[in-house]
Amino acid sequence: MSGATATPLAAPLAAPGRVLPRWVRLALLIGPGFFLIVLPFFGAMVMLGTYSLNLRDANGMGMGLSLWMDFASDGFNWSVLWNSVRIAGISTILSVALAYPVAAALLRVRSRAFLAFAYIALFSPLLMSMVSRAYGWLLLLSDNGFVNQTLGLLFGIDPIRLVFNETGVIIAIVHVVLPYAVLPILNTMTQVPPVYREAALDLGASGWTVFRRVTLPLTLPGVIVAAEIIFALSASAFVTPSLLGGGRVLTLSQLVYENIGMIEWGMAAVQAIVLLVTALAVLFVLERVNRATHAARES
Amino acid sequence: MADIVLSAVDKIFGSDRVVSNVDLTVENGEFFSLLGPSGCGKTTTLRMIAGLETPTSGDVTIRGQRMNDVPINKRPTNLVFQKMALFPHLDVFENVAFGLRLKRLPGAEIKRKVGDILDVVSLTGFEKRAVSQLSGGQQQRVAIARALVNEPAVLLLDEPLGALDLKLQLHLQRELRRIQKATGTTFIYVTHNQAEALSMSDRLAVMNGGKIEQIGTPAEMYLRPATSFVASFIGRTNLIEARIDNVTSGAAHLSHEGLPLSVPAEELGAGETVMLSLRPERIEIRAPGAEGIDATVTEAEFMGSTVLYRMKTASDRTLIVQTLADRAPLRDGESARIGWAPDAAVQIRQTSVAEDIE
Repeated sequence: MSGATATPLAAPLAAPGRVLPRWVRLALLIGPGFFLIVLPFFGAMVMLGTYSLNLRDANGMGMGLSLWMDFASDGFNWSVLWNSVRIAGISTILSVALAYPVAAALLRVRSRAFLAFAYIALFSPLLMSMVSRAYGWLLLLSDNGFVNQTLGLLFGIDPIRLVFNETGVIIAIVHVVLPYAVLPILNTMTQVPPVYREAALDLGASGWTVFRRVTLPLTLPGVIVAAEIIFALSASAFVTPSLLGGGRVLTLSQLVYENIGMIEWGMAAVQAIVLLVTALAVLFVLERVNRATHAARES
Repeated sequence: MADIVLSAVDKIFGSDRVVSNVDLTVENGEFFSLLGPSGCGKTTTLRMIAGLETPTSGDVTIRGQRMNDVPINKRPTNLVFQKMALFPHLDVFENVAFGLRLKRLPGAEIKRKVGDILDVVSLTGFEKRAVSQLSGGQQQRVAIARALVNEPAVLLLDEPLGALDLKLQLHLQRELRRIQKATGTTFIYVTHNQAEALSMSDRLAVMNGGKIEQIGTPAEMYLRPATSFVASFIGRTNLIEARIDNVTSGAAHLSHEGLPLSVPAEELGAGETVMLSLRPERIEIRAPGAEGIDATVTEAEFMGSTVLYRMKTASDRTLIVQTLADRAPLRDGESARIGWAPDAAVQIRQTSVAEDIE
């Protein structure tokens, strides 16, 4: 920089002494992300909408709600939707239940080395390819896999069916989504000062009462955020239920895939929209619960 | 009856001796303060009484029962935290009712007790407010109510007014004193604010470096400090080292700047060096030519009712002098005649000297 007058740091972008208007700066910050995420999303939504209403009229069936009627009138679709919701729901509850104590333990770890090890262990599922991870679980959980052999040696029991059913699907889903559950819970826990715990103990509470009446309510927002993320991820999971379900556990995402394979794009679009709306509805309910707990705090 | 007795209590964290050989007795219904600079061990001492810390050695006794192995939630004490620690997810009523609900009292009784204690802390009508809607002073009164409603044998307060502005501090000091008198509860109050400790306490202990330097009433602590630390931490003082000239009929005579001073002799003999505390207000500004010495003002601090001077004597020593502001104050560089009565100073034991916090 030269000259006697002070030049603002924004000089390369603007005339000397002037900065870009606020809206331009905001647009530059938001723009790249917006184009990458929001536009394709809405574009895809519009496309899905047109397909589901048969606006392209590829099969000469006529435009309108006929595909939606087909979906709604077929009980099979509803039972598969229920599979998706049930698997996602159970995975969410199990993940959060497993993640909460993990987060509570990580909060108390003092050793940096152990903390680093714990984080690596926690995130290891995300470092593996989804397909090889699923096959790994197949090997572990199959009738003569490691888990059943160990159980047989220890307790002399017959193999328990752990693959090609919901149990295996849920185990594998929980494995991969667990880190997404631990992080928001841990984050909320670090924001609750230990003095609340001390205060509750001082007022006569037992350890369990402190958890039930103070720690859990104060960390509930983190639990809800975790549940939202986990539900969205597991409701839309495709590879894990396909491979570990072995075709016997059908979820809506698999129906979408099959229909696309059969060039039934209209029905695939209907099913994709149903899956999305279902996930959004669950998120909406969870968000309402979250608001209610916040409201109780402020009013 | 003594409510709290600490005997030979030590607390060691790692290699740090945070509390060292503390002996303390607090009587029933007393307002007792633990006063000292930060890091002196006063909060750790309080947390050992509350049960948040366990003594490394020594005994904590509450109402005749040894408490070392009694967990915090079984002790007849309640703590008001420095950071208040009101539960943010509960309203005022539920915060105060927290301890009562744990005792499974009937709803009507809980309602009555919470109502009564909110009346004591002047917060009637605030039951349904959220904690976040209260001012700092109101939050602190809720914290006090939440502790007091359990009718603890002893209420422990850990610098509860530290985070508030000065005016509110003064108001709540009077409130706390009133609440303590109204309920007759024993209070143990931790503070680093000597003015607060002096004005509120029945008795106080001054702590320094994990040890208790002196225990006494506020007047005893100010007028007869036992150590150089107490003398310099409570109020201001001039610390004087002087050799005893002679001892007659129980009094040791010595002089400072050529002016005589005497202290009770007890075990002192001529030739010994002693340390004295001479309070600034015991030094008088006298008429020119009167008995005394000349000194020059190097710094004058007008404080309203009094003026505080730093004055330099002919032998280049600095004395702090405090006089009533009943006439035009001396200005920097002006000289005046100063002097003191022979009994103006008290003998103290040399420990450390408190840093001037003002």
